[in-house]
Amino acid sequence: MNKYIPVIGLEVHIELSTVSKMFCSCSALHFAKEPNTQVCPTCLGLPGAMPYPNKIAIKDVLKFGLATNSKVNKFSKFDRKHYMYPDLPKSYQISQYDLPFCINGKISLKSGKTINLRRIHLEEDTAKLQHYEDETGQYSLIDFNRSGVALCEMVTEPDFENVDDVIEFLKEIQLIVRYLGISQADMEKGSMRLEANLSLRPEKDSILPDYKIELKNINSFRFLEKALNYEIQRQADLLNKGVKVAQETRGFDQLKNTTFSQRIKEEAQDYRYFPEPDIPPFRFEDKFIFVIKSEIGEMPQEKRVRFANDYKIPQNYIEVLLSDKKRSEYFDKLAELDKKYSIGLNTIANLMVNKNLDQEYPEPELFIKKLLEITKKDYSTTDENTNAVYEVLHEFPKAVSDYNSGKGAVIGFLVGMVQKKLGGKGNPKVITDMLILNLKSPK
Amino acid sequence: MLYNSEDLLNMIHLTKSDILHLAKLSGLTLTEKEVKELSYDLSSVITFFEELKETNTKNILPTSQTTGLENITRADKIDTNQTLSLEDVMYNANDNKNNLFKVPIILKK
Repeated sequence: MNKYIPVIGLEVHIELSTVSKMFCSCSALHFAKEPNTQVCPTCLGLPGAMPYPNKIAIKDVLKFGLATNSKVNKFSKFDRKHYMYPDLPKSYQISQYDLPFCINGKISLKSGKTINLRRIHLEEDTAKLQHYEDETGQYSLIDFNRSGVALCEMVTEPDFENVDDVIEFLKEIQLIVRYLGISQADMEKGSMRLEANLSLRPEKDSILPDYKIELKNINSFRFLEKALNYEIQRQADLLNKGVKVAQETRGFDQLKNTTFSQRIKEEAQDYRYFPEPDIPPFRFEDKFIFVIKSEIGEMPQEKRVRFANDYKIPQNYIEVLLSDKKRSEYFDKLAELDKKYSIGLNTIANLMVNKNLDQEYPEPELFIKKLLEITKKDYSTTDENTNAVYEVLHEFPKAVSDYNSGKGAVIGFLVGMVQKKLGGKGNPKVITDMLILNLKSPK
Repeated sequence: MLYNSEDLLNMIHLTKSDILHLAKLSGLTLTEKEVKELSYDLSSVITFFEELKETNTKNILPTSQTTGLENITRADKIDTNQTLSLEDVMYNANDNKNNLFKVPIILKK
């Protein structure tokens, strides 16, 4: 038995959440809408209709590119990609060929491995086809609400050598897209779609294989993981038997957990790309790119590092908080508030991650208030505090006069002495406030 | 269309498989006779375009645009005035079901 290394590349489609479509002013919110109610001559592909590019969609793609360390092509254009299929009645898709908006991106995995992004381009989504069979025979039904919605496509180099890296990468991409706010990247609703191409090379041989299997129409990370694992085994078995793996497109059978051939005969693709004559090209000034870059904000990886450095909470907590941008921002607010209350960020993170306490309190202030109530019992009573503070102020007149002559740092010493009397049960915030109040009051 | 013998000698010849490939890309079904006719007709069209090779393009940059315009975009706004009524959408459809276009089966399972 030979050992093989998988060679995997990905194509990810992201449907942008612009309000209108890519090349016309129809609504782009097509999910669960009455069929064919959001269409016009342009997105129906009627002759003579003119495409008019959506500025926000272009900015979104540039943002995505800059957030993934890509280079923006300062001169770019749209091209026509031709193929005959009823989801695209004008027989071509407006896409990008040799000058995509972004190229040569990079994403680092936790292992330190770098995945190279070949390109990120913008195109129009196609109509939605459904296939039926009844007493009248077999037929397909077409809804054009999705036709013309802005669709961003990212293509990686075949840099992946194992399935775990693929899943980690895709989750990070999904997170980046959501942080940028350019798409919901919801796989169940089809706003994030995955395709993988996979082949195997012998372990001792670094030459790329002479075939590749495309895995298409997979709508969850879990199914992709299963499909890839199944494919790796299937191809290894074939290669070990000395059988050449046929180049083809395969789908995933969710019931059997296997892949199946979708097309036996693969014809060489012949898209006859040429520049879209109806859309003038794009030239991006450095300043324009700079402004977009400045709008990006903190990306998940930066937040991951900041949370680890500043908050020193466990890695698994960080990942849970990060996975939802709003939640991570909520935690930021709690951390800020906790500077006053010193409840402890581990305690706070734990109550969010394991008890979902943040779901009950939309306002971070109320969350903290609740926490103080819970933890209050453990603190000394007001009477105990008053006595301890009174005693300390009388036992350490030197510290008191130091403080009054401007040596503010001595407060730490006094708090420590009070805590000593209270057996460490005092609320630091309460004691500090009480000390300051008494120090400042006239004798 | 008739060709004289000199035309035929200088002509680029598209083969039968070229024509069948083009027909497939265009979604056309051709009879044997049509394949033959088209291979002559398309060959002559391409031969005609060969004349362009005589043009000196040494210092000419390729272009796909003539207007000189750049960065033409629209704001991301919905304009429902552009949206067609269902009646208009289905006006030329051969067949429809529940306001969906109905076409012969595309993908056989």
